[in-house]
Amino acid sequence: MLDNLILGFSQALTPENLLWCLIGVVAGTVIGLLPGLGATTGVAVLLPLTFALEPITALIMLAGIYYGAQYGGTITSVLISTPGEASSVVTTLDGYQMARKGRAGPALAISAIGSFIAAIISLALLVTLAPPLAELALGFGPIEQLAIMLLGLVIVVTFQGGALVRGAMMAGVGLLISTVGVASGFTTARFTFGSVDLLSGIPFVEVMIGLFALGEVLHQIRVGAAAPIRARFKDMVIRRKDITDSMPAILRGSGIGFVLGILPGAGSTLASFMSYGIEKRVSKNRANFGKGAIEGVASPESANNAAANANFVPTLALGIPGGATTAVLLGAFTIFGLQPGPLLFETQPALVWGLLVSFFIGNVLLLVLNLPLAPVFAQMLRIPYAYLYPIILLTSVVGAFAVSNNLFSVWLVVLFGILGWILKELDLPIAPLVLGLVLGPLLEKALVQTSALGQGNLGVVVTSPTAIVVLLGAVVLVVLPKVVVAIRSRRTPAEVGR
Amino acid sequence: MRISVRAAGVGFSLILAAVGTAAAIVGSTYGFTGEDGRVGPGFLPVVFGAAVALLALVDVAQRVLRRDRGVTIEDLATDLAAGDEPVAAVVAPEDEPLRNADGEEVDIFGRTQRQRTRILVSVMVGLVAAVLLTSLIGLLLSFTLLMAFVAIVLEKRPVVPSLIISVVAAGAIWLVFRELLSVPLPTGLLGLL
Amino acid sequence: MTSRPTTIAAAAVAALALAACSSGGGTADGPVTGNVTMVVPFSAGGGSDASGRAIASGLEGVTGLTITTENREGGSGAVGYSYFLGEEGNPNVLLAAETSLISIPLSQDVEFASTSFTPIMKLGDDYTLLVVPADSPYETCTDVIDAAADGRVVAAVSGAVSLDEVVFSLVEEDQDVEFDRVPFESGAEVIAGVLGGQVDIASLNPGEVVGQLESGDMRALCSFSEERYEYEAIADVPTAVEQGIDVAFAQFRGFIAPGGLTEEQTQFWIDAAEEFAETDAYDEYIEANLMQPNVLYGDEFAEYVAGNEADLATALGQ
Repeated sequence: MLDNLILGFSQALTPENLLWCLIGVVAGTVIGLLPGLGATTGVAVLLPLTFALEPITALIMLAGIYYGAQYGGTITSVLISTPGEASSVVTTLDGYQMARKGRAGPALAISAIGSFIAAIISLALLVTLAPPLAELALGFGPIEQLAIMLLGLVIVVTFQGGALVRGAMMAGVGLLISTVGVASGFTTARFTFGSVDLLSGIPFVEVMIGLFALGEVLHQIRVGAAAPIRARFKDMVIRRKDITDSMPAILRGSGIGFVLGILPGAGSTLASFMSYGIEKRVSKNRANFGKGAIEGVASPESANNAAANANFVPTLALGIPGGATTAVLLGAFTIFGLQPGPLLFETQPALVWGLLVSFFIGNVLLLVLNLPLAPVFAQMLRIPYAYLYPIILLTSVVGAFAVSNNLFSVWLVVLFGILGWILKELDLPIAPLVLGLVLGPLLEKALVQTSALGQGNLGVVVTSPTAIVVLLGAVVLVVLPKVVVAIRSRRTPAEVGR
Repeated sequence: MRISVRAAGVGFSLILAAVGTAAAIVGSTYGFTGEDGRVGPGFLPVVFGAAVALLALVDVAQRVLRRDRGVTIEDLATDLAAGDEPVAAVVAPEDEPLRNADGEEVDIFGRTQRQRTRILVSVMVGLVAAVLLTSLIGLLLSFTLLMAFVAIVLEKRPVVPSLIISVVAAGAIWLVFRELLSVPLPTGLLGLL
Repeated sequence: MTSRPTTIAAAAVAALALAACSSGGGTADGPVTGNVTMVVPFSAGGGSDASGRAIASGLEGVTGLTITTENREGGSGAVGYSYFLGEEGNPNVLLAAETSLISIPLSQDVEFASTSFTPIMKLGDDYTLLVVPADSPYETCTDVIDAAADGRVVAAVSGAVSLDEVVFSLVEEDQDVEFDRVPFESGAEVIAGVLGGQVDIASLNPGEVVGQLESGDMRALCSFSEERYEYEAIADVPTAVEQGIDVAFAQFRGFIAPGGLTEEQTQFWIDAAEEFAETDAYDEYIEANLMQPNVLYGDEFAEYVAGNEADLATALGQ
């Protein structure tokens, strides 16, 4: 394995490849900065740039675009509460609060550091364990996936702390919205009212742009202009203490991210939500989650990066894409005349290991670029909000339009922007709605498949030990906090009384 | 200013309850189960619709049974903090709000809540107008106009910097989308830009 | 071919440096000028997307026009075709079509029919192979039929109106057996289901599974084609007909233009298509996807679609 790694480094570490990787990282970051345009779109639209290059160089550049776009999305999540894609939704929770307190710089820096550490860990795991892990992942069929989806929903609903009912209600709204359109495996058009645009369902990206970007702008208008965030330079640079505080969160996030990333379908969104949910329970600093805790940024950012890397386990070992972006990358393999599949490791070792190493290099470049640049990006918040929010309005609608080439998307953004504003005013949690919308179709697919496998009997779930364990975990998560509260209230009844 | 967030919250949850119920009823027409009892296209719409309706009603009950007075946003935040989880969020104490001569709460430009609400409504109307205008003058042009309108008329920023910022932002968008990504933005009937 | 990527690369670098630059998009004199959009009615990364992009870059090479690919996925393809219906008379939009052009109007309530558009070029045919996991007890397709006659065989399908669904329906019809379907969303998911042992059989395009076949993780029992494949990797896979199952069904891949074009505009695209078929890019695409290069243009393509539709309607019992 070690000689493979050396082979990989010797392939990737040429000046030309490094240059293209750098161009990819920068171009990806620019794409990721635009609301709604994330890594998948970034790779898809910039794919033609690579056609003239050698396959290995092209793939390295694509890996650069991939990471750059992810990081670009993180920047907007932190600065203007606008995630680039679903996997950075959670980052807005604490990242944006940090920015409001003048700590955008550390938030961006910890995100780069967390991603970097997650990349090292997941690369090490990929190198040593990819083939056996891929075998393991195959054991996760529809039944097990169904169990994972349910666990994910439970974690997200319960991470809203006291407002359990409201969290569940908003997740329900997201799930309900996800049922619009024609679901996989059926031909019935649901809740479309004859509209062709609605046949494919309510697209997630537009909802996200509306709820987050526009909703936050409207909310800020109502709250009124605050003094511009004037952070001292000292606050813009990450401190050693920030890093040591975040380290446990980064390590846990990397682990959770890697495990979920291996499973086909679950992917980095669920990973970021779950690691945040778990961190919120176990972190020393959990009381500050949602109010600008640096651990609340470190955890989901490491998790989604680890998951993105782990996505390549099924891709490289089995030839099956683990996520949307890996699907596009696999498409790129075929364009270069490479047949993705289990034999790729054997037939094209230089290429595969070169690519794996280039993920690592992409992260190093991001870290090197962004540690000094994070405070610079953070300066964007010095622009008076009266100028900033019209720009956010413009980029939001253009971004939404660019994803679908359809004016319908722009209407959706406006509609969900107003809904997002209402939710913010009423203090109803938005994150569960987003996860419900993302998980809905996956949950439905797994449910339909499970029901088909059981010939109509959903009880087939009990035939899978893995699914039983996962579901028991979900039950424990719901019940445990109540038990803890009950025990504590027995000790100090006065403190918990309503 | 005291907005009755509670009344609005109850109203919103009632609407959600109605939507959930309607979705469950419509959903049942899609077929709850298919052949030999398999999950059908209407299964999840019914389940999710019913769940939303139920949870919304529980939320209404919770809101109504709490304290019997107008609730401000700050109250609501502390409400949330008093939930059944020991590590619930506690909102950090905000700075004392600015006040004008009449004692009304204002922002740093001295605008009252009433003035800010007017801006908010104008922006919402402006958004809808800009989308409608897109079919005539194109997406980029109509939203650049909206940008300039918001900055100059609503936010009363100086005219020249506002125009410069609007044009530069629009130019950057045009460069990235049209030239770099070759995304065709809608140009509208007049075929400009 | 080679000049455009370089232009874009240069444009990217320049744009990143925030310097203005103009794209080098070419224009052609003739009935079609300006930018062209290639609509793909499925998401990025799938077989239709690959073919749409291959056609777009091939046509770009021969016409000098700038052709942008646009994914309008949803409703198993219905969204893209419905959108395309609204572009009637516009020669600057094309659509990467396959069998869903026929199967969607047959099975779903949509406003378009397979005759609503102007067929330009059929690139070739794609058949499917019946595949099982390496450790499956089945050795031939006959084994599978026997097992289905006696008990339960779980088949993966990649959509309610997809090619594999059609093929399984045809086999059921022919052999009077029934397979238990589990719906998946894409070929890749079906492969995971087969490898993971959650399903017993699947019917996939050779291009989708050749990697797994070569590695020995999967076995192909028979191909639903008229004749055996000539591609080396799958040359010894017998046809279903050889094993007594009279089913051969090809999925076509090609591209269409909206209805209501002038004769000149239609001819422009047919000429471009004929030129594209002569290029290396076309051969590479066909070979990479293990397809059959059965090319048809214009009216012949339209006739083929009509015949295919009649077959499919009978097969699906409509």
